[in-house]
Amino acid sequence: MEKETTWQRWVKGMGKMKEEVKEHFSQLWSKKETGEKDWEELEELLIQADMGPALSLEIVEEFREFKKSRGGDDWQEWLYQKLFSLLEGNDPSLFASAKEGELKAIILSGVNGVGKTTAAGKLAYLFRNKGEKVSLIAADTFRAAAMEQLEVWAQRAKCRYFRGTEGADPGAVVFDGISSARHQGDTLVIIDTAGRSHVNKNLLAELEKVVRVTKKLILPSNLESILVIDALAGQNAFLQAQSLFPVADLSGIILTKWDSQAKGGIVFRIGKEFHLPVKYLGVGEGIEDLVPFDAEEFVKTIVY
Amino acid sequence: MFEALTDKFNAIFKKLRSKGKLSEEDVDAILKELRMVLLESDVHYRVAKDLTSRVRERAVGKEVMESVTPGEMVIKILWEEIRQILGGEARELNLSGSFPASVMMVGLQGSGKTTTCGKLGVYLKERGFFPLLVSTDTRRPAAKEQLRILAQTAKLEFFDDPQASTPQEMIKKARDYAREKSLDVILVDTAGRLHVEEELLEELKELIEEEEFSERFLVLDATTGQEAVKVAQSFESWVHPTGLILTKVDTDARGGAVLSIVAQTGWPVKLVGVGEKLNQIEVFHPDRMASRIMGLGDTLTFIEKVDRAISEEEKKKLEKKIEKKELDFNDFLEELQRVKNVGSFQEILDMFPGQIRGMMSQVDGEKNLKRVEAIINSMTREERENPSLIGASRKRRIAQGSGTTVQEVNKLLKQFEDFRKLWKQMKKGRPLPSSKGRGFFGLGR
Repeated sequence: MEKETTWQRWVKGMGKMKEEVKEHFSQLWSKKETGEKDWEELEELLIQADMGPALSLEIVEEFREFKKSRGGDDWQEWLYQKLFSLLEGNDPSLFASAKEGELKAIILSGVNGVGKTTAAGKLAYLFRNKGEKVSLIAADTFRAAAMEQLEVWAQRAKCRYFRGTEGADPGAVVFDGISSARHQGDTLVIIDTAGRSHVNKNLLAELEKVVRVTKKLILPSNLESILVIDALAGQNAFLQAQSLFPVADLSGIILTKWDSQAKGGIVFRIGKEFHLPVKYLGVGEGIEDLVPFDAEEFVKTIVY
Repeated sequence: MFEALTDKFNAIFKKLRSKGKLSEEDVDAILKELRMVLLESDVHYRVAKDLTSRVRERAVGKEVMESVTPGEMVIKILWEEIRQILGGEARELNLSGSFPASVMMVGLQGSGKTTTCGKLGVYLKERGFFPLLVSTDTRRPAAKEQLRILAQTAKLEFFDDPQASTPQEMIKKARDYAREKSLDVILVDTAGRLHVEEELLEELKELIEEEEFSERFLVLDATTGQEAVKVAQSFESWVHPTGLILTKVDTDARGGAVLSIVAQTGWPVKLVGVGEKLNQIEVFHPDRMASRIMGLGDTLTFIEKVDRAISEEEKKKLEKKIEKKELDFNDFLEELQRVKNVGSFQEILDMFPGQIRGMMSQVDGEKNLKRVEAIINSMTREERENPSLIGASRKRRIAQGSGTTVQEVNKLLKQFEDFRKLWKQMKKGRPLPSSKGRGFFGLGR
């Protein structure tokens, strides 16, 4: 029941764009004479859908080629294959090869205001319902009231909460938080880090330290390093991922604010450029508003 | 923010520059690339289209003069077009109307409304106003707490009444409080909301119908993508914003979104947030932004910033000194300390044109800045005034005294020589490479 409503919201979030894209592909497919302008329109539509100019152009050109060569008679099948190939191997599960009985950890990172703290709260709730004993660690010791915000989420998710003092070294807070969680017999820690502009070297070094400390205490198989990206973000999202990659050793992505009627094209760009799996979508402000990302269903919804 | 875009433009314009004449095909080829660049910068596709076609019209037409190369002409035309979209000149805040004046921040979640509230408070206080901060955000956990802490940090007045059940009530009470305390501007933080959440937008609409706001700012994250235009459209119909505040300009987002929104709505961009610290907010200058987009270097903002840090007197002292003798390490040290007051080193660096940036970035970051300071502090007065005195044994002593290495001392001496040459050029009023006609530190103009 609950799963259905989130799923519906999920699809609804994609708005009219989906229909328009389908219509355009279908029209172009059956049109005998196509001009430069038609293709440009399709390209613009894909750009609007947040596919990004480069990928949009690529899709348009490949589709043109496909139409010309009549490599098949089913454009939908073609589009499905094309889009799905961009998300190949997208496994939304966390801790697929985690060692049982050992403490697990999720590190959340991202630029300011993408929704890391909210995602942390939702994840805590999700995993607590799955039977994990969860501890939320507030490693954002910089932003005013960031720790208080996470504390409220901890209360809502009914899980343990660990914080350092304001301005404390996040690495030290994480060390203490993990030690405390282990001591208390928790099975999962979720680490909320400070928002950082990915061009700020000092903050990147700080994040690197948080990751390093965590790695010392947590088995590699039991660690997920998740980049949180705002679904409304433009091309810059890629620069974010690029610079956080070497620092945070990313293993997946959570896309937030999906309920903004984001067009979803960003998912494909992420898949294409980083081969990072999209794990979850944030679809609202409620604690349950986090849904696993199913690539196959997603592409089907777009194409069919 | 616009650096990455700048680099791209530079690459394209290099092609233009290297050619003496431009055929029509050349223009088209360039414009095609230009369109791609704009799109990659998150400029809305329609805006990008308009922009390129306008540039084509003007570039191919009669405006191309004989005294400038076609490449320079295209650069100029594009600059003008972008600047024109962004607005003619910097605009002041409007704080007229009811007393106390009210300013409201609206926007999506995470766009930076609360931080902007704090920054705007600092900004107004610096300009002699007495602001009061109030939050109507009861939805995000600890949102009020965040604003309260910001107010405390910046020593600003903050108002909260847990009894107030609606935003309207809260604002009314804040107004009473402000009158009582003779505060003249109320800065209202609102809960973030998506542009598709009509119920929540309705709430804002009711609020502005009941209360008078001199400014209703849409706070926009510079990293927003193609959707920015829809966001603006939606807020336009519910709140009629009076302007934009652009945040997270210190990221490398190219910020095409702001160009799209302004092109669409004509709203002025009034302020830009350029960092996490509360004083990192600046007036938006379309001129400079257009220059920055196109790789002309943001020397003007730099001058303004430095001006704020240096008192007039100090400046005069410095000017005299430069007139009478060569720059020495004492001046260099002073300059470094001033730079530290102004903002982060990287931030300063970003404002210089490319070539100088390359040279100065060897100093590499604030950490090294401290080491540089330590080295200079370990020099004797004579050594600072006359660096040529520093031989091998003195170098060893300085290195030991500052906890650095002889190599580092050598490097600094070399850098200082470069800096000195640059300084001389400015003194003579010669333009710096690539920033024609504009010196920095307010000198050499």
